[in-house]
Amino acid sequence: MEAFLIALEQVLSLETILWVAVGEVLGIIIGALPGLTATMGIALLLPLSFQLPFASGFGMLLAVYCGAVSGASIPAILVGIPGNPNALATVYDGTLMTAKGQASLALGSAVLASFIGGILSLLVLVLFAPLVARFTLMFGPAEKAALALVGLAIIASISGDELAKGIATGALGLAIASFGVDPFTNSLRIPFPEVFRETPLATGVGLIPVLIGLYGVSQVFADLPRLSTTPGEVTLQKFTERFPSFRKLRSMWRIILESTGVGTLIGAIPGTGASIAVFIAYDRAKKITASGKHGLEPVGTGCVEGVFAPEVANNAVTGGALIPTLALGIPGDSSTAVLLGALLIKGVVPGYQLFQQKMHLVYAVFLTLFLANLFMFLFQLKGIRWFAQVIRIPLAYLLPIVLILSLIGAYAVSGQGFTTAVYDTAICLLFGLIGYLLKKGRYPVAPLVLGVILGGMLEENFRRAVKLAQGNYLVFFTKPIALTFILLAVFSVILSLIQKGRASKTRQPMKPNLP
Amino acid sequence: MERAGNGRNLWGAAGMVLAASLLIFYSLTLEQRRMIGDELAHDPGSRALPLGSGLVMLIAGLYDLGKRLRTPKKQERTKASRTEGNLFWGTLVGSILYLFLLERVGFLILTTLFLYLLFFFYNKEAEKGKGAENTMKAGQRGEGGKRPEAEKDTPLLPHTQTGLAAGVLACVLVALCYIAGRIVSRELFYWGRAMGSPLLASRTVSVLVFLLTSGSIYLGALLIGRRIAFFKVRSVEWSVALSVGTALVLFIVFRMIFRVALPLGILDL
Repeated sequence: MEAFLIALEQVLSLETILWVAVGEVLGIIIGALPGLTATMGIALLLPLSFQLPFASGFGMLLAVYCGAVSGASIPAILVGIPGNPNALATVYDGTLMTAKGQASLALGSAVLASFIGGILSLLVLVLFAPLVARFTLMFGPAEKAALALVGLAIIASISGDELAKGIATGALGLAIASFGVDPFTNSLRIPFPEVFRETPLATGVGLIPVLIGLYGVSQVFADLPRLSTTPGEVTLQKFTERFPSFRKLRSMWRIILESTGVGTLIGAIPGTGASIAVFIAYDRAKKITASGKHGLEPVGTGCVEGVFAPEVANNAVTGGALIPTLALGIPGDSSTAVLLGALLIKGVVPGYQLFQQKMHLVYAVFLTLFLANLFMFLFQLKGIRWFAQVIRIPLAYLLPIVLILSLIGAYAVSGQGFTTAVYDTAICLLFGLIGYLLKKGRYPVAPLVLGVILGGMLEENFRRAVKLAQGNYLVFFTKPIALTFILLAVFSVILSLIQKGRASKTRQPMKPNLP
Repeated sequence: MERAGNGRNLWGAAGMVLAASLLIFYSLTLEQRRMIGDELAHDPGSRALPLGSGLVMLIAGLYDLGKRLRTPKKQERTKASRTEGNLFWGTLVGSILYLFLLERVGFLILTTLFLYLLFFFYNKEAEKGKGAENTMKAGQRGEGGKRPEAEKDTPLLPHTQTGLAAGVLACVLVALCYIAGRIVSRELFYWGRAMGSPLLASRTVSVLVFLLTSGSIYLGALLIGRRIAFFKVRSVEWSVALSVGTALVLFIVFRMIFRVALPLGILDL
């Protein structure tokens, strides 16, 4: 109770409320801008959050996450271009409703659905995260190393239809994580140690510059060919606040519950993301409404049901994805990978210890997530007319701002003098280039990020486990939990191969869901 | 490799194999040290992670390369235009120069100039792209090279010289905003101290005074510029406004509020 009150005091401070509000507005804008993802938004605001107290800083990032996931529905409904992959399934019924002159109802439904999805998944997070975290008490070094391996295997296996590419970038991330000082022997592990020994590089590669480079700078380079793309044209119509009737909402109870379940569950599986959840939820809603019973309109005909299902699901992912992030230190998707980075930078290590010793921080996360969902509902509803205009911002103005925010963000976060700051900015630029080259070669970036984040955990626990087992590498197969994790990793890879085989048979290429 | 004529994008896979080979080579040059107290050498050692990662990368990269080699030729290839390539290299070299010059020139002037140049050249490219699109559409409609009626108010492309001169003006404007803001906020701070007023001598008030002074000059200059149609071309006007505004906002947020040591360079008075 005391921890809850401490968290409540932190969250209800004017500072936290203001930063969450700022994060929410920025998140909705980022979500509404086609091509900009929630992950990129969080990465760009990481340096700012670094300067703030935990509740304000992390709350702002959570608000960006919620806002960007929800804001993506605005262009999806109005111009048929999803702001990011989270709103891919909203396009179908959303654009049909706009064509019917029901844009206000579609937008209102999307906002309401996002709010319902976000709040219900938050409840699941509050109930299940402590239980999952308790489970980690049984983990020794072997189990922890195997868990890190599972996270990497799953994220690599769902990185589109190219498993080898996901594995390659995941391994690259692990290698990058190993740069710097060996945690056990204090020996230097950097290329050309004679040259770099006295430079900030000797301490390794900072996580924030890597994240900002991979998600911010690389996006600028990748979007250059789209410069002459005409931004979306939005008719300056008066958007009214329109919601589906209570009766309609009641008739959709099954769609809401199933979409929440799908979103939360998919979100909780490490490495997955909203782009998978929205299609499953949409498909389920299609089946539920096929009979036309209970006053439900068939999904796919431009109806509220078709907007509700994916929008409940994509915001339900936010709560679900935070379960493994907070409880196990394994991110649910690429956005939570960056959020995990933010936690680690703040010195907050996920797992049972966090729930046991720093429960006020966990409560602060829950409360700020609630606040973020509430603001998302209020701001998006009241400001829909203005947020809709964001779609018109040309890339020629947007990209330079993203680039300078990335560079200054990487510079600002080091806080250790000019030389370190310039090194960090250079690393950010270098990783921007690496991210761009990976995107050009159709390599997924998310496994690399996870490799960088989990590299330390994997190495430390792997070496400790082998040492404790007196050099026996089979130790991972003799412990039931570690073995289960390894089997899970193998299963996820095999499942991915089977799915790929099926997809190629039906000649429907699997969509890469990770940026 | 792509230009060799096989039509397959092998660069990505070849790059991954090369990176993996370099990583393995680098791992083997690392000193293999084991943790303290590990006399029986049970610790896999400091090489284990980089070497293991390199091997996994190599296997995955070789598999990908082999797969791409087996892939049939693509019928069509989308090649990046020369201008796109120029923009990419321009952005990259500009960013590197930005890093090198940051300390000497200073955050405010350099950020304004860098942003302005990016806005300017990106807009030029965007307008060119749209122009070509319009000409193509007009050609399809049988209207020759005429601009469609609806797009007649679209600004023409600025001359490079005019555009670059506006960049210099943007730098002057940001310097003016900073100097005025700095002088007023500093004088008020000293005055507050002399008067023994903790409120006037507080950092929050200094930041607010700086914001108000520099913001007034910024908005005033933009309004006057607009009234006398100083820039003539809308994209130049927007570029100046956005570059100066962004630099000032970032300066206030990071340097004045969060005390990040952003260098002042030539404005360090």
